[in-house]
Amino acid sequence: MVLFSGALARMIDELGKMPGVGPKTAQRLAFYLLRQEAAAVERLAKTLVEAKEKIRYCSICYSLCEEDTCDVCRHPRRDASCICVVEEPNDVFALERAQIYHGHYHVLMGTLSPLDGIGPEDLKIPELLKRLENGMIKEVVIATNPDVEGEATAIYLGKLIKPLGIKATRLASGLPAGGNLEYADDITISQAFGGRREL
Amino acid sequence: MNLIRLNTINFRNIIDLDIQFNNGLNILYGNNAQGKTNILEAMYFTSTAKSFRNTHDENLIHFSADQAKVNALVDTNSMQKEACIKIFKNDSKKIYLNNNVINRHADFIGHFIVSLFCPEDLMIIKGDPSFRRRFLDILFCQTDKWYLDNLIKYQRVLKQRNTVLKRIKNTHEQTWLEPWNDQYLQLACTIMEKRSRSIRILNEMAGRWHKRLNREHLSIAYHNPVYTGEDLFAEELQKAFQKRQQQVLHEEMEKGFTLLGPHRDDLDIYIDAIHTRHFSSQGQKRSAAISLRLAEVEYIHSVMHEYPVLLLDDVFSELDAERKNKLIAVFDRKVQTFITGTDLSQIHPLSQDAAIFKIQEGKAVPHKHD
Repeated sequence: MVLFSGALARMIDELGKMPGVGPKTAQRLAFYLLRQEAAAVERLAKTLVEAKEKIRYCSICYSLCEEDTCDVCRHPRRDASCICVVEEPNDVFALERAQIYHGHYHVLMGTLSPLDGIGPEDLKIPELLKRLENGMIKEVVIATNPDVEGEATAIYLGKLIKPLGIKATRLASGLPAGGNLEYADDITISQAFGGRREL
Repeated sequence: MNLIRLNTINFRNIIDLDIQFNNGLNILYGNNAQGKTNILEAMYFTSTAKSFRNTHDENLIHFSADQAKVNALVDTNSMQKEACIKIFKNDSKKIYLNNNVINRHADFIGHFIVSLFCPEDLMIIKGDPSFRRRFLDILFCQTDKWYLDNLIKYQRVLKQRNTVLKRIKNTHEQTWLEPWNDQYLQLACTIMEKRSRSIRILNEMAGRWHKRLNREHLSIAYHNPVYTGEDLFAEELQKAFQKRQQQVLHEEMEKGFTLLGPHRDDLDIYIDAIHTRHFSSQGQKRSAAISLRLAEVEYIHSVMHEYPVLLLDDVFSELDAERKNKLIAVFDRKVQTFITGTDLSQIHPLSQDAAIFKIQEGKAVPHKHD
């Protein structure tokens, strides 16, 4: 039996460390890369290194950017009186794709989770409170995920924000848009029912 | 619901099994350690994706193999469904329903329901409260997705809350606890409400069955420090729970874990007003367990409008002839039933048109009627 060794083994090992990539996919990627021309692989390697060097967190909202601050924070026409709080930088892109929200963001870099040893001071919560001090913010939209940890984080933030006289809102959860009631799963329907609103 | 066909590979001592079943009574007989219970376990596994023997999944794989497969063709509401589970050596598994991968275990639960009667059911009566909570939870999770979702969330919140309680043992700093309390309170009350409501229904059903089979009066009641007999509306319940919770908070911080809630509940079971756990005979305990299972079957029917498939594992050897006949007459031909036993002569007279399989060394041989 011939096993992977040397550079090939190291390559498969490194690729396999990525999320969603198991040993088989790692092998496939490795063999794919080896089949490519040297220039193409170099370009990929260079892109990775460059991206890692250039991309950093926005000094205001902790979203991803290449400058000191991100496009949203620098944009002159975005609503500076509203901040949307999300868990991770990729949540910002999800919300931006929807093109519904025109305010600013704040990325927490995770959620409260005592089990993982994550408390308020391990998240960008002090930084958020600092942003609320200038008196310009009228509303904070809390868009953490609707799981147990996201919910706890939202409750925690709500309790901090409300005494400041700032409106704190939470994204609704329920039926998917364009979804037929008939095809929604039981839990989603129950949730949507619990969050029903008056017409 | 009916199990039409079961196909298992490398499951326990069953290397390769493919059997089609009767819609009515099916008898699996054979000597001990031949694989009768393993076949029932495979059926149970295609229903819950868990073993009833409280073991790691990888222990279900035959010692010579590195993966096992269980495949069941079932009929529910006159629709055929195929449930398939592959089990791997690293204790992981893959679940398929009609050839589609099911990623969340919760999405699999409830598509095909079995009711298992086994000698270990005695623990529901005489074991510690966790056995009774397990009995209730498995039943309610299979018949109510909302309950399942709340229970999963509750267990998660509980873990987080307990971690906080341990951490603030010395400081008693409550701001850390607050974000978890709202969810803890709400989830706990939702679960308690459902349990209270459903236990009352189960109580009526279990009482009726018990009277019919034993001529004794069986009753069950929800044991919870917040519920004190009468029914509470959601708001009152939340208030009462919150009040109790405030009272124990100090003790919780001292001890470092959550003292109140559904994870500490119990079910009180009485025969003729006497608490069964400590004061009844072995025979009474056994018949109480059977009545609870019969109530479970009826409860499932009342919610799902279909009977579950009955798996009776070695139940008959412990019953006298009268109770045996009564029990088998209970569901007659309305319910597909699987019975295991060592002695065919003991079971066979129960039904003339049963399908009979002799189980030997993990193989099933259909038995021809004489």
